Amino acid sequence: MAEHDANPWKIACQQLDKVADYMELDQSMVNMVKYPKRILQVYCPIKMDDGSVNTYTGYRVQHSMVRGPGKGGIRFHPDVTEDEVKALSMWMTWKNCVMDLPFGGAKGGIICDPKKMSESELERLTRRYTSEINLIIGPNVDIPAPDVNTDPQIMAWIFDTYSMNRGHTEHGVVTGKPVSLGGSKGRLKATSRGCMFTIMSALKKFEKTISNQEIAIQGFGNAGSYCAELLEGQGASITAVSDSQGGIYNANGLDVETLFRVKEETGTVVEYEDADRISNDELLTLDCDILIPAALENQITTDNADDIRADIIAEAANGPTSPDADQILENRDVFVIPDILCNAGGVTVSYFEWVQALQATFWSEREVNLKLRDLMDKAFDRVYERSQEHNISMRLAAYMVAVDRLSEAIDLRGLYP
Amino acid sequence: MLRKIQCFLRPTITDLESTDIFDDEQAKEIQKRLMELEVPGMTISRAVGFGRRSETNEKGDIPLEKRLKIEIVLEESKLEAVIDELKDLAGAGEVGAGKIFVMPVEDAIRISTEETGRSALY
Repeated sequence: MAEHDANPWKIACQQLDKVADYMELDQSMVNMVKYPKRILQVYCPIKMDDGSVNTYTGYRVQHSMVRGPGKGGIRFHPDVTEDEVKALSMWMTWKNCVMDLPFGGAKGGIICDPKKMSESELERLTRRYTSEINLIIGPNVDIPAPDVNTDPQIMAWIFDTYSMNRGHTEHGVVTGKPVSLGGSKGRLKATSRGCMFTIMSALKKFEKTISNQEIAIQGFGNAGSYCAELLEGQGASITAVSDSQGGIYNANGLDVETLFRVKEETGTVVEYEDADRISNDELLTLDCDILIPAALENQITTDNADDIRADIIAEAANGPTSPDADQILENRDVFVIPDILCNAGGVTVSYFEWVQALQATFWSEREVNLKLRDLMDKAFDRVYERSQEHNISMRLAAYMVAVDRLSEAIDLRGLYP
Repeated sequence: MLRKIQCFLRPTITDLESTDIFDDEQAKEIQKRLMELEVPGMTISRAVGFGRRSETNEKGDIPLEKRLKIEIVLEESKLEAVIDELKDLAGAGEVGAGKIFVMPVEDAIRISTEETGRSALY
């Protein structure tokens, strides 16, 4: 099977099997940490604006609820499959375990093309889907969040639908809400800020500072754009960025404020003047210090892993590196900050939003950012120590930390009945 | 929320002993730039200390180095701007330029009026 078409569930299982082999984990424990606790498939008939009725298929997969309630986003996309949602829910479990958050892992999705739907159709779909999964979500059960093509407005509809069904307001049922409805300050840039903290920690280990580090960023969406802004603010030089239209490169650095303006005005970063046009593939193999894949899955493959010239890869996207490419990078001693650690800032601030909801309180943005830094630094150090102790990659170390924490929790809770 | 900034900067004047702090041009510049940011007040003093980047002398000792110590109590919302200004004043990026610490302040009390909290600062 081509790497690009690889089934995400098979990749997730392959990654787990690799770490389980290394840890010599008992097969019964492997099965307990591998298979999802619960898979719910729902059909949502929706009246469209033209009066016709379309039925959409949705999923909510709760991979693990051993360490706490399920936690993970909901995506709206035509390519959603049950296997994809299962894989994403497992990755949420590992991410929450690496960060030592009191959550299990979950994920949801609806097979739909939101770009071809009106706002009222999207609202009806969101509300129907929420009602269908109503039985298995809740502040102490499973807390959804935004993901691909879902935003604070959609979270507000989930929050409202769930609250109306319960008869009272439940702020803790969903995170990524608008700030005026109990969303957390700092959530918007949380993934990028977390990514930045892991990069700073990595540089510290190599006795380097961020100043003048040349950084190439693939993707200029939420994660990529704010990574550029925050890292430039720390003194780094952003030499290349890209979006779905292509990329741009200037060895002397790009001006990030101008990039935001160009993207806003023209819809793409490639219209930025004073830079050379490059392709997304060329960006990945540029001569730079740090490469941040912040776009789609499977961007670094066996086709280009040998040509990557960055010393550090910070995986702001989920699953940007195929398992085979990962092995090549490991053999070449490229320092990879794995996705389940690198982009965990988003779920960490989601956790802060949930804590604020349960306590009916709110924190300042500075407070959120400092708490985020504290948890990111601790998680990075734990994973780095493990990688040094065992002389293994950061990814294998992160999985070891995660699987250790989950299997310990399973052991302590015991089997019911 | 009130916070205290305690900042240690490398002095630009080499002969501190013969320069009164009231005539210290660097201190005056710091005061001017912080006043432009409308900080409620500032204390500046001279201090000595050492850090991880201090250099060992020919005797193998790490000699104490002179620093300007700046203390400011302010609201959290003004922190970032003041920190940026202090970094700029210190010559950001230079080894040994200084350090900035931020700490929580439980309360502030203006003795003359018995005002407390934010009111005591302004």
